[in-house]
Amino acid sequence: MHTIQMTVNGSLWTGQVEDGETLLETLRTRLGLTGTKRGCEVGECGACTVLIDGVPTTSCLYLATLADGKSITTIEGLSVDGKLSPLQQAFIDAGAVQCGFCTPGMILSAHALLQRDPHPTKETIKTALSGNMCRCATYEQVTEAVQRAAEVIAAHVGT
Amino acid sequence: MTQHSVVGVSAPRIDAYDKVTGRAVYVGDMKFPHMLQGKVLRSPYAHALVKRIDTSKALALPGVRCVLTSKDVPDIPFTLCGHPLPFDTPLDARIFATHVRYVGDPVAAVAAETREIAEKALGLIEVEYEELPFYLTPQEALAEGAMEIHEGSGNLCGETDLAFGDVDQALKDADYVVEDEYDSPIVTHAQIEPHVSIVIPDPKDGRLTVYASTQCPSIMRERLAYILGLDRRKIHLIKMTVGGGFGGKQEPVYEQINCVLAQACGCPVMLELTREENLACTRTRHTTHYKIRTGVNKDGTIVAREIDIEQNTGAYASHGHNVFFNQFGQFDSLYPCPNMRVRGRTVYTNILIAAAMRGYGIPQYCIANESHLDHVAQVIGMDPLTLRQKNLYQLGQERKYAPPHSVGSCGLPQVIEEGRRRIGYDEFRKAPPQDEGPIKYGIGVALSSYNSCVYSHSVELSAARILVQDDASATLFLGCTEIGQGADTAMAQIAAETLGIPLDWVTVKEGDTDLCPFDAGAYASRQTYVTGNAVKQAALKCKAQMLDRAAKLLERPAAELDTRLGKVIDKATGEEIGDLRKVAEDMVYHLTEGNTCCHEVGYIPTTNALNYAATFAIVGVDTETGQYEVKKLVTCMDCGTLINPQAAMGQLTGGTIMCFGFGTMEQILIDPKTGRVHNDTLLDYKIPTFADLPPIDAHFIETVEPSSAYGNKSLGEPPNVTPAAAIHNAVCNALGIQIPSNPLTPERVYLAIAENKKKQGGV
Repeated sequence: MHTIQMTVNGSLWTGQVEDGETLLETLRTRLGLTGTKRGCEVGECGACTVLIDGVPTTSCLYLATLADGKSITTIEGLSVDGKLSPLQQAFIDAGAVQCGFCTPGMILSAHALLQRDPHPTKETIKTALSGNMCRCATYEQVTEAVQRAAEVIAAHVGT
Repeated sequence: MTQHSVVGVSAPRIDAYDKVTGRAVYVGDMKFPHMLQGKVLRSPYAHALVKRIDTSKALALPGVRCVLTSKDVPDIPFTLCGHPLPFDTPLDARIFATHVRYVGDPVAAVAAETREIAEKALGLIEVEYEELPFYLTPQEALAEGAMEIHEGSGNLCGETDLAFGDVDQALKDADYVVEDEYDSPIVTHAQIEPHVSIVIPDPKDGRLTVYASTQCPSIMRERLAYILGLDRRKIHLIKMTVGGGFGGKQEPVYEQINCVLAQACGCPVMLELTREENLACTRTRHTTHYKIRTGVNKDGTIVAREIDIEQNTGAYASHGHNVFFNQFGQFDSLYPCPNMRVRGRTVYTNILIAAAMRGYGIPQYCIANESHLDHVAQVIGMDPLTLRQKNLYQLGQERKYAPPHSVGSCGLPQVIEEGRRRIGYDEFRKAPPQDEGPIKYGIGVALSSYNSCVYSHSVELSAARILVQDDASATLFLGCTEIGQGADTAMAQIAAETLGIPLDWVTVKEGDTDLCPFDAGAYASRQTYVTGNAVKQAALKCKAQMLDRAAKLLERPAAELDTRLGKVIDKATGEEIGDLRKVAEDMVYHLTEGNTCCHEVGYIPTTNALNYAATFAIVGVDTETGQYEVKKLVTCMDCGTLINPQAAMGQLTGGTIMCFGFGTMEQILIDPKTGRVHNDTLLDYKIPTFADLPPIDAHFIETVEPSSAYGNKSLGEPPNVTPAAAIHNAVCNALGIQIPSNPLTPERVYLAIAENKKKQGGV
């Protein structure tokens, strides 16, 4: 067992993790953050995507011990006091949610994209989200959601 | 058309907030005290007898709580098929196999304190097998001298021969007879949420609470009780948020194994499959071989059709021959023909189990038949769309072959015209784009019809209970199942519209068999069509009771009153004259006449409405490499009146993309030497990602279907039917050849080009 300390959704978490434990397991079982989904455990589907120091990462391939000292954002960390982030709201407004299993990972990948590129083109969105699989194939609506969110954020920054 | 307040509005999905915040609870997210983890030991052989199993070493491993094999569990043959009673496919499955029939057939299972221990224990179970000859194709399984996979079956799971009219004479008299064969691949649901269940036994009475990711809670409860030899009251089924179904979660898959593990351990057990198990050991679409013959006259009139359908159902029947019947049901709803012969055979082999998958036989029938029609058009020198239009079903035309339901609405001509205009069909035909070096352009079209339920083939009961609360808000209890398609929101909209209350006054409780009424479940694109009617009728009863109360309060005859968005209105003028909340309050708290307002209605359809769709595609094919690009994909659909346009569009574009996967990239590959699935990861089993998307132009043509709650018809499956065929036909059109199979991988296209060159005597 190793003791690690990481910032998860803005709060410091200190705890023990196993040698081979993935960050996905730590988040789901030790922190109860089950919004991070387990879809394949080999980094293919993207359902377990979280942000590590702002970078979208498949948490199923990331050893928990490596998260020591890092800052982690999960889907639970995007809304503040129940108020949705512009991107979360845009996912609802654009009809970008069906079964919802890929949604947390999809939103986090898109969130990171908007952080580094506030005005992404359709092609940029496609590339940035191509690691997040959606079998309901909400891709059209997700693209629209990301663009809508970009507009909302830009308008907000502008004021 | 009546103006609606809630129906026809793109209201946000009622489950969306929970899904974008991570609050939605899927089975795999749940934890219970002392919960164990289950694992399944599977056959490494495609066909073998289990001669001996020794579980002692596994049992001795610290942390292992039980190891079960066939001798520890009820020996009750059952069918996996997730249909309501009576059973409509052979009872050929057991909880654990002693005669294993595919690579992955469960022979034992372990429950242990952790997943890692359970996995380790699997490796300690010693099994001795006697290998048997195995068959991967119907041809092999039906060959003379082939061993029976299921005793007494002759390896046939179902067989149908039917003829209408005088086919032989009509073929003899036809100007041309065109014949084709076609093979569709094995594809699988690949839901992003793996199959998972949690079973909690009650020590008091042995009752099992089963938390499941299922499309059919009512059916799952019935079937688990049957498999376990329990009274149905001993199963409490609770459906949680479902991370995608697509047909694969219509039936018990591993829930029965989890039940016996929990019974044996006396504590909660979770059984969650790995991605590899999901892809290689769950369910698939039937890989199907078609032989199609068409007798056609020079003017394009189809005078005879002969279709031979050979489905590979794999190791167990599951939905088996029913999938053939669904295809047969579409024969006269799209291209009716007076002379028709159909032969269907569903064959056991030693591959993984084919079952229900979005479209239930129709996607593969569509691609086989629509590519054949292009060939027919080529032979008689007619435009492929003109040929189809000459032979189309016309509203009012009698249907002979399928259960002869009348057709209440048909937007087929309109979806064709809309698609034709949007893709620029006539322009392309008149002046096809010039070749660009090795790139040739082609255009393709495909049409479909699709049922809105399974009536009258099987039981079609759906029920809804509506409890109007003391503030006129409503709780909707449904056996109907939200699996991502948007059923909860659609049902809430129908309830709100009918009751005359705002949408956010409706709460939906679904999928708990202790609380909710029976519903056959989420399959056959039936929920909005069948359950929608049950919801509307229950809501009408509640509304009548509220209006009676309102009449007393407002001292007006009930017949003069109506409700809208929480208000009592004057029916004639629309003027607001009362607050429905006050009415509901008075209804409950009246000193002498107080009463609750709760009505349940069970609904069975009396007909089966038809969805119609047309998809057009333009592609550019590189004739040197076989690579191609879908330049335009236009899909137009008549699913009646839209309950929620935005959610409907999500089904249409999502289904279009799934079908694009079926047509162009998806295929489970099986090693001919061992029967093992080669590609059991999402890297190797390709499903469409953001990077693959074709440009989609999706459009609805709204009609009003009289047999449904608000003019609606089926929508879940039909988007997954025509796109693959339209793309296929466009590629073939570009190349001027037939390709008798999909997916159209660049490799397959390249080989087809090469073969054609060889035939033409080229290099």
